[in-house]
Amino acid sequence: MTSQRTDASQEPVDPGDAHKTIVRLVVGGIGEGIDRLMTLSRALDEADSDPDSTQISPIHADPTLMAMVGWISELPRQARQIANSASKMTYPITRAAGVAWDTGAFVAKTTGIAGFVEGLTEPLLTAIAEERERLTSVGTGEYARGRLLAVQVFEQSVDGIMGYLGTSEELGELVREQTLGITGSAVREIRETGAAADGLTEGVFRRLLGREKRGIPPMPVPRTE
Amino acid sequence: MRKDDFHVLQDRAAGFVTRMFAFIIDLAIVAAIVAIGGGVSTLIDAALQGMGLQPTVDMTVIYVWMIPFIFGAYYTMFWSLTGRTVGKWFMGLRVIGRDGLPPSIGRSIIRFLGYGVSALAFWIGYVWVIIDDERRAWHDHFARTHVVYDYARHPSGEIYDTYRRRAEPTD
Repeated sequence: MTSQRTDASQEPVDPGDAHKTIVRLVVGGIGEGIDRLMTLSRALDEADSDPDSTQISPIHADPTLMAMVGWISELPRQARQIANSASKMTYPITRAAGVAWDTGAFVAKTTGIAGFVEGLTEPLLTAIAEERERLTSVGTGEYARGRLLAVQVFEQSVDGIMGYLGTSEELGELVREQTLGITGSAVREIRETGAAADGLTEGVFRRLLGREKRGIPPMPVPRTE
Repeated sequence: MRKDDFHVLQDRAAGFVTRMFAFIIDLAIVAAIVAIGGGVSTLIDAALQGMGLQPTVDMTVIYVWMIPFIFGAYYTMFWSLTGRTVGKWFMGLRVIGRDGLPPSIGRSIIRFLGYGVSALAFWIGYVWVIIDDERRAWHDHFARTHVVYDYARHPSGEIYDTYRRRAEPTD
């Protein structure tokens, strides 16, 4: 799809064929959009199936979001190029620092300072690892708690409004009888009509396309973890 | 599908007409939000000019650029948090991922971007629901989601149980 659009864009534009150009642009844009979304979707699948991922925050707890950010962003590649240029310019300094570091490490090892420092840093590194593990579980839990709260708030908002209106006895009675009764049955009627229209529309189109008539609509099969 | 069979549709894939009505309701709601926001931005603009402050940028232009983000925020927030927007709630629908739970933020964003692709293709992506064997639109295929009938007032126990299980401290 993308190559077709490229080829089309190289052809000379005839003002009289403006409508063709527009169609090419739209079709090419759609093709490119589908291509990108499918690539992104595949990246998300890979991220979903990674069992070793560790998360420490609500954002990091969502591998799909992280994968999408990684896909969209071209910044790492550009950052690498900038870093390469910078490293060439600062090479003499980093070289000198490297030599100094190696010398220091040699001295530390031969005099026994390195072992002493390792003994000091070992508990610190262990504590950091434990804290990171704790944050992982806390972050995941907080994320799930937030979604649970949102579901409860959204689903129970109607109950809350009804409860508030129900503080007045007359109004509450009116609300219960009129609103719940009429609106409830009206919503049910609309939903039933919609579902019936779904089947009817599908039946007509399937017949036109020569496909088999379907009875009860399919039920999505949940993915087994 | 006769009306007598209404109850057996619970948790099954939703059809085109119901989804279209839900979409129209959501569109009306977001349009109202956008209109109110436009009024507020105009008022702010007028107030700033009344105070003798001449903004260096045109607030109307900024607001127009924000409209797609308002749409995106509305849809992705509701999908990822509860699996249903106001329109879908009214029509008794729910968006679920492959695990039966509401889609994640990432998948909700993909689904919203897929809305644009489905619409750009002369709305074929939406009408695809009619001929698709799983009753899925293009954006459902992109985001690996399904839209099912869910007439229950509260989400199924499975969703609650899963969230509760994940929300429990693991120490």
